[in-house]
Amino acid sequence: MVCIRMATSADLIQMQSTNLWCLPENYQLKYYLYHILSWPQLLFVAEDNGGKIVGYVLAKMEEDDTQPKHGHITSLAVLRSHRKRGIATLLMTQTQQHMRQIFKAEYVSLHVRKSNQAAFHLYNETLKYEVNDVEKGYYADGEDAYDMRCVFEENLSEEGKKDRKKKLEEAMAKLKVDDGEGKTAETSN
Amino acid sequence: MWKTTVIIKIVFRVSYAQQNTSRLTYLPALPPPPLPKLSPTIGNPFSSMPPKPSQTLPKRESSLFKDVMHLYEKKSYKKGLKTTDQILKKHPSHGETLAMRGLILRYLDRKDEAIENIKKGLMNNMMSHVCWHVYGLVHRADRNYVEAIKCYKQALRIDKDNMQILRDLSLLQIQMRDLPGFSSTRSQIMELGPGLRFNWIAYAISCHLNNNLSTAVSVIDSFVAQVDADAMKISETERETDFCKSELQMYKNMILMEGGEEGSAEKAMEHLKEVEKEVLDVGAWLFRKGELELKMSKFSDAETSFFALLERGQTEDYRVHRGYQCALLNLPPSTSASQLSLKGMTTPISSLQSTLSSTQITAVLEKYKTTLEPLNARSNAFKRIPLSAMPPALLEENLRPYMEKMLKKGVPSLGSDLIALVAVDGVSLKDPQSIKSHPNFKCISKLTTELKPSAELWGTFLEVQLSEITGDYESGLTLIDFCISKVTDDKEKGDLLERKARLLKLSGDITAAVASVDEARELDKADRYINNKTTKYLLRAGEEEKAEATIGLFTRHEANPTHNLFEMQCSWYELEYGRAMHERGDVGKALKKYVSVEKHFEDFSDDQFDFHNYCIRRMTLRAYVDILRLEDHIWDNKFYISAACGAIDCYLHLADNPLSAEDLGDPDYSKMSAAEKKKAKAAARKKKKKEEEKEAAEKAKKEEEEKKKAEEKAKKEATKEGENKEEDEEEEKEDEKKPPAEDKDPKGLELMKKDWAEECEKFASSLRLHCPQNVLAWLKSFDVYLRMDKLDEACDALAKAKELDCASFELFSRVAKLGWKVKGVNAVDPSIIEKLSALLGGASVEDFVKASAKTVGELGLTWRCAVAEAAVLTKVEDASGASKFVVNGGLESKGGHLVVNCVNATKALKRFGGDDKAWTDLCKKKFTRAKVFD
Repeated sequence: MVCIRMATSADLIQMQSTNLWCLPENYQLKYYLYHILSWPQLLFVAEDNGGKIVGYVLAKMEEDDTQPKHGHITSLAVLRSHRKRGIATLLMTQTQQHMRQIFKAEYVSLHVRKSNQAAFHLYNETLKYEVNDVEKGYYADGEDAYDMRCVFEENLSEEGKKDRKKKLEEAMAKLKVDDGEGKTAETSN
Repeated sequence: MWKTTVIIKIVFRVSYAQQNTSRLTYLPALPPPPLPKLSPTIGNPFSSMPPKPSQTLPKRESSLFKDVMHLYEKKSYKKGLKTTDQILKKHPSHGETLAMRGLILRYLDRKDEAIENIKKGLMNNMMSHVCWHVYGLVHRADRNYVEAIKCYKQALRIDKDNMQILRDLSLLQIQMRDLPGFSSTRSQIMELGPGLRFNWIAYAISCHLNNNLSTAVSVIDSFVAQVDADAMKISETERETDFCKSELQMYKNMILMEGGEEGSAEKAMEHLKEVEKEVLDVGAWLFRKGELELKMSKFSDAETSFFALLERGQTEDYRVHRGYQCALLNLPPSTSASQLSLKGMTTPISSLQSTLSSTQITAVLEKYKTTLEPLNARSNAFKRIPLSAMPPALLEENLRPYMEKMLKKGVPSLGSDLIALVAVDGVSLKDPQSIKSHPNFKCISKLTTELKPSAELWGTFLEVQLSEITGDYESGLTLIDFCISKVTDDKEKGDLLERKARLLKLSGDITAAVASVDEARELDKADRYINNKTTKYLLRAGEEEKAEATIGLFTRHEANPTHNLFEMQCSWYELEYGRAMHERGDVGKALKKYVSVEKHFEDFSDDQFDFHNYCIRRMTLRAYVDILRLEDHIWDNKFYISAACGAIDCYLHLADNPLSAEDLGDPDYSKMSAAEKKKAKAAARKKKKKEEEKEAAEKAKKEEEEKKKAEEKAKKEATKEGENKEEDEEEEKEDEKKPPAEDKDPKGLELMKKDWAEECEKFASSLRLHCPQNVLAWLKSFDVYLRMDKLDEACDALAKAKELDCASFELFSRVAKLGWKVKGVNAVDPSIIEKLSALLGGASVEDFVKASAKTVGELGLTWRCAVAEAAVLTKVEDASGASKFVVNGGLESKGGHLVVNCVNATKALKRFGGDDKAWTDLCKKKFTRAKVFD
């Protein structure tokens, strides 16, 4: 099974390696350092029996003063060998909890490839993200990205809360049990 | 991707400019920085040299000089350069202008001219702190920190209270871990600038790092008092105030906790409770509380704290479970501390199983069942952790529903999850026999058979995994083919094909393995994981070109895959590639990859530089101190260790097989007749010309591409909206990526030409320095020393290795080699004889080998090979006698289930002229698919 915990500095090289095994958007180690040294509580890892990092989430707070405080998922990945265990969901809920509690974020945003259905499903169905915008040619290879957002419960309007509840009920009716399995899902800054 | 690079550049502009701006932010009320003081200080070696008269600029030029500074800070280098020209036209020997000109040239990447200008500047004005400072900055830019520190110190002798230079010096001191120096510089800065928030925090950190914990704490306290009195701000912007307060208090608590003296836990606890309301990071606060309670043996309080963490949703965090169990088990502080530092999935009930009573374990299991499970029915950890400590009878009952659920869901990694239950109490996963006989394995196996009818596909897949771990690859392959015939989903089919590839690889048929994993790749071309697996298998099969093309499918937008993978610090690929080249004997190409990995670690180590100031501003001090401590050990990493060991092996190979003229690319003319020589030279000329033509064509093509790219970029730029336009332009200027420089030495000739002894010693000494707890550091050092005939050092290295792992065949064969070598040397230093005797256990080298030869029947394959080789070397056995050591043991004992070990055995037999045919016949019988024994 896996352990889901906050990342430490000792995890960064392995996180980078996991990223290189899962996603086409890669970063130098310094970028991981930048994240952990700016928002230490927003990085989480999934560790397997032998201490290998099989999944991670790299997240940050946007520092745009004109907008309400909000977080951003820079990158999320789970090794294919460990899919169907709900790891991605667990990683996301943990980092989102810290965004709210420690950084007082009102919502969180992310980008996802239009073609990545597994990831879209995870964000939209399981984690309640909504499409905010489409960014043309966002990725280096020219693919478009969905700009998705999830407003945290306490910041939703009454209407929004009702709406979400209704959607949730619909989804539950459709799928009796939704375990929110996280296939390799990805977003990129 | 490109966005990322831009962001990094925005955030981390390390420059004079940035620091000046930050000074402005902090010090709006203070007068401008002091002008260079020209009066020499006592002890200055240049005090007898008065500055040349031309060093004072007239008003016009003096204002131009200010412009230069300003332009440099704005990174308008070209304009800055022009302005220096204007000054130098009239005052060609103005030292500070020359120095600034040099600095600007450095940033325009004209390094040689830069140094020339700066040196000229210094010659003209040795008394200028600006000149020395600039010289230091350029050394710093070249990562030559030791020289940079010298220059800064020289500048400070001239202008001892220059804040800017002091700051720069402190930065290098922390980078180089001159901790006392760092502390004294920070203390000086503190005295000079007590009005700055930054200086307080930096001073506190310098005390903490020098283990002066009480001062660190009191500095923080005084700082907080000033913040409370509104005399200072805690954060740069209002928005971050709460976060900075919270972080600073948790940092203070970290320092308090680190104090090892009596009562420090109580003190830390008191502080922790005081700041409860200020701390935003509730998880860290609770964890610290539990940790401290364990330190004070307040078990029921600790239980409450860790339970609260589980309740908050950290149900899958095994660190919390470890703390919770320590509390339940009333473990003494020292045991708790070591349990809390464990990694992975281990918890006290599994790791201390043998020392705990069954009542204790039962009590913990009961807690999980009655208290935790109802807390969250979906938590996996709540169910999985108890399984790791259950006696077999209980295990079966509880494992059944667990496996049932996972099989129904079709979780591909169930196998490795379950096998971890077997590997708990020291059972090695490398030994099929001991796995098979483990009661937990029998239980898993039984349940698999029972549950299979209700979950045919995943039940069979689980059987495949169990066959693999017990070394029965043929059954595994039959079963996996059955699975593949049943599966309908493409993603699942990919998983199955990947597993099949693995089994084929293990049974020695790498070609078929490649085909299977490539089939999986074709099913899901957007999945990088399966693409990487294919790449890896291709490299194992020695198909490096196909491997590069495959991995290149994911880097194609970056043009050259090799370059992109290097830029992204993709060590696993470089190590695999290097290994493939090494295996084939292409040492040059192997070295290139090993050196690439070494370069990544140099960069990792350098990466911290830009964060020394950054973290203090952001107040992320706990994370910062963690990073500093990590960086102290960054080289102790498996990627680096593999690269260093690989490089050492390559250079040792070169020591025994020096390069010939032909290897180096020039034909050996000395052995040719005149006519042959002429012909050869003509051919070489022709070849060269052809290469040049090719190069020119490629260059033209590249230029064309560049042009296209630039046009596209311009187009993109034009459509971009106006927001941040100005800023973007500034960045673009910075960010204009140079195309990757052409690899002028694809074969690694330059690396091969280096002095093997020097290179070996460089890598070996770095292993000894950074990973002294890793036995490989000492084994490799021994190899190097022995080859250099440094027998004394060779003895010491093996003594160290013996301390770390006295039972390895790697050590045994080296001791035998050393013993034999010493035996053949006349007049050996008595101290060496003594050290050697300790390694040999007082016996002669022959008796040392004979003792192991006697037990050869009980040994695993790798050991038997080592004994056989040593026996032949020391003439204890002849080749045919030694062959029996290897062959008679067969393939069933430890290690014989792995093709790679069998191949190595063949190689060993060939090396000493043994009966490799008898051996390969045996291998072929077992590994019917393998081609390596043909």
